[in-house]
Amino acid sequence: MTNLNDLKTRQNPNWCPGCGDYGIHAAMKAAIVELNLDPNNVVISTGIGCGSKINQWINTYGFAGLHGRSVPVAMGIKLANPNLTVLAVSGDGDGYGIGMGHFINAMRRNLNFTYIVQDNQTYGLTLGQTSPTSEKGMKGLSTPHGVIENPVNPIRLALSSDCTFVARGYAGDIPHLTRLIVEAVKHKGFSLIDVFQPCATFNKINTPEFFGKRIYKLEDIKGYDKTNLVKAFEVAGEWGEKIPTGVFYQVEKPIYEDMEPGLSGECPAHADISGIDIGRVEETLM
Amino acid sequence: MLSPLKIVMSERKINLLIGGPAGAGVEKAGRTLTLAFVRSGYHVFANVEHESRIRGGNNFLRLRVEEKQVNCHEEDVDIMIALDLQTILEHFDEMRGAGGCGCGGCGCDQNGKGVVIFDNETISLPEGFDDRGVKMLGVPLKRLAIEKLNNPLMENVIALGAVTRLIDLDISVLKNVLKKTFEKKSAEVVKLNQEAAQIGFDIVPENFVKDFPVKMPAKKGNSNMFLMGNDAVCLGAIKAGCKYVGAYPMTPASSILHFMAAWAKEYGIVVKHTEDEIAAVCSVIGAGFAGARAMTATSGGGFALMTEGIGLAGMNEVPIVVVNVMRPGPATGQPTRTDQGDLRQIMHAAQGDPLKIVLLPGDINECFLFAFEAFNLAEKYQIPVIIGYDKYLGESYFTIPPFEDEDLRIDRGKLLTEKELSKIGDYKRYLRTEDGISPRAIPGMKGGIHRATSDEHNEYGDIFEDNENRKLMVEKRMKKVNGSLRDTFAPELIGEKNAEVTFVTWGSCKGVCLDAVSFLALRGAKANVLQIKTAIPFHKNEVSEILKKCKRPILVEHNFSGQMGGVIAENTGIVIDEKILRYDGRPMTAKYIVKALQKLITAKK
Repeated sequence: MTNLNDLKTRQNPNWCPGCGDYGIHAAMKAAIVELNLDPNNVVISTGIGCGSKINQWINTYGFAGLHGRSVPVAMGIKLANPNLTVLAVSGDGDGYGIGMGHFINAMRRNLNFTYIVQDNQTYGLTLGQTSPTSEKGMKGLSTPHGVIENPVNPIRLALSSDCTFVARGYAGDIPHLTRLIVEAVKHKGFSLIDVFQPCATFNKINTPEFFGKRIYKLEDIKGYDKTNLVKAFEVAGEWGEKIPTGVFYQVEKPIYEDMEPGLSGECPAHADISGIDIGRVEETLM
Repeated sequence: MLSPLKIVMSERKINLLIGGPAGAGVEKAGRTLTLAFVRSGYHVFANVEHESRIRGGNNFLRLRVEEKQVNCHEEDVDIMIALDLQTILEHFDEMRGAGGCGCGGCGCDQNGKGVVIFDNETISLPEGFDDRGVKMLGVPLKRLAIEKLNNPLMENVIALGAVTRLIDLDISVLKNVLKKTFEKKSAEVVKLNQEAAQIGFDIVPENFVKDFPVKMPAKKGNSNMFLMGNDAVCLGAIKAGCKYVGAYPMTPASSILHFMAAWAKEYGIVVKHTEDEIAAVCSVIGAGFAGARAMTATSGGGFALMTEGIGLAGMNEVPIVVVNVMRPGPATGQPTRTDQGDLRQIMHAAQGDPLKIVLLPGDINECFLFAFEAFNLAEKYQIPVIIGYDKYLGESYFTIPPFEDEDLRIDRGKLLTEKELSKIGDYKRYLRTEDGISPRAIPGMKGGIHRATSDEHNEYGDIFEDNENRKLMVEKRMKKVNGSLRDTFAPELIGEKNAEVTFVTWGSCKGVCLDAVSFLALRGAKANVLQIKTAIPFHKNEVSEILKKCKRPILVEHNFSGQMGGVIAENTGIVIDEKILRYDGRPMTAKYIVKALQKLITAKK
């Protein structure tokens, strides 16, 4: 049985006091315990940013790579060894800015891993620029007169990109987020959880007070049909007095790994690579 | 290391050039003819030149056919098949006997005159066209194709039939090749093509046949492969146990992605055409981290996008193989031409001191061998290994027997088993060791949990800002680069010991320079070739030793600044003043080098 102690690391998180990442950190660990995953079989792939250090403080395998690239690295890991449980985690700047191309392409492939985006609507580690999800008008170091473009709506993007599990969580509600992560990992296919992660230091707009007043859960809405794409798209546009969280949409579709011709045999990471015969190929070149 | 060079002259040899607009079947014709020669027991080198477009323009293909293995093309065309006027206008000077050589005294063989096969009804030679004695064989290809076969696309095959008649090549061999090529389509298509060949064969006038001096009768067949440099790299990768390929199409490297994709299912290789080159290199790193041997292939522009990823692989000590098939740059440059301008890029990609191994294959055999060894080096030293070569090597065709691979061994370096891991206890993925290489666990292994992180880290892989640690980790990683020297490929001096001239070179120029050496030897001049096979780590002692004894080193490469010359200078202190540099996107030939050499000799006087 995996317990929380198994996931303890040599060092402790060093985020600012009040950072939403503490909530995400706790929920991820709780989810791993609840799913009884063997930490030796879990890989957490992160990008670069405050939030991307999260895997430093969870005792599973991990890979912290480049800004914007947690998803393609996760794809390589998963395709090399589909038996691993893979989670990609990165911030909104990382995932919805520089990493946008990888995000959309991962969803249309329906690769079987979970992507948690620490959405704090700012760039924290580089000291407070506005990000792809920052509200219009928000001021930051690189936008002193306020953001003039519209924010990315990751939920609607995901719904448009054939994502088979689309959810949103809130770092301030750890039990709820834990349940979402459990469902996301269990889900066979690509799972997105965009998590509101208040940045105590640089985002003075989207604070716990802001979210506390606005957030509601879709599971509390009687008759909300998770398989209705059109309804999900409609609800995903809500921002203002009410902000929905929970699972917007979930369907089962064939996963990439089951359709990939190179995976019809043994797992690439464990293949026996001694004595491979290339004679068959050479014959076709004669 | 001095390798002797046996200078062998083929009794029977022929050079052909096939040219026409894209879509006219120039390459197909070339391929068919090549196979006919191979099945007749000859060696072939084929080089394709095309424009960066899908239809129209002008593409041409050169075939050099000999009785020994050949690694580059020759000027002096014996037979030209011109499917458009542009081919004639652009390449007429290359026809044997056209006197276009203009080298005045290099002693090249001008005996005999070449033949140009062309459709004299659809192609009008310009007013006052001087054939300079070259035989113009006009054949109404289009009319024959339409009238006799009801198919205008058969022009090129009719022309092939004419070629076989001219040179006494057994037409049944050609017909067999056509059968093999088209039997998957249908028996009708096979018949159509074979009839087209016969029509061409029958239409050549007797006097043309009698007067044409070059005959290539069938010899005992050999079981040679006919493949491109890129194909050989793929064979090496498959043999080495590559199980993940992440790549993005880019000329002239795309065929690597296609080849691997074609064999993916059979060999259990995951081949992913990713959304871009960054996803390609990052997914390759993910796969390598998870324990699968992984590779990507691209050209200069795509490689530029992979720069950060190459640094990541170095920092996180993940084995990956990156192939760069070079073309003229920068930016889009010339997508379909050849160049060697990326040497510095592949050496210095990513921030910091070079943390990688860079291999430079120079012929078809080395494409296979270096690709195979790259995967061993990558895993043994837990480092990115880059294989760099030019388009001329990557996309030209060579004939060679199946590769000798019985003695090849897979070496996975310090990859741990779970049993070994269990004995370690407090596992440190980045343990500082004598040789800088740490024991390596992969995800899934019990007891090997670690985070690979691109931040500077301690031996566990924990982010660590300490400056003493930083110094030690830099030294640890760099130690691996230098330590890999003995496992990489040493420079090779090929030819006469006391040569008057040494061509110092790398990549496909190796073959061209060796051709030049043969050319010179037959005229009493002694030259040899120093081939550089590894850029990082640089074999400075060997190169120094060899160069110090060279009477007259001459740098030969395809870039403006003589990049390899710079690398040699910074590593050995030896500056090579005389250079033969070509950077117009086209390959060199032996004659090109000899002419350039003459200019240098004259200049020095």
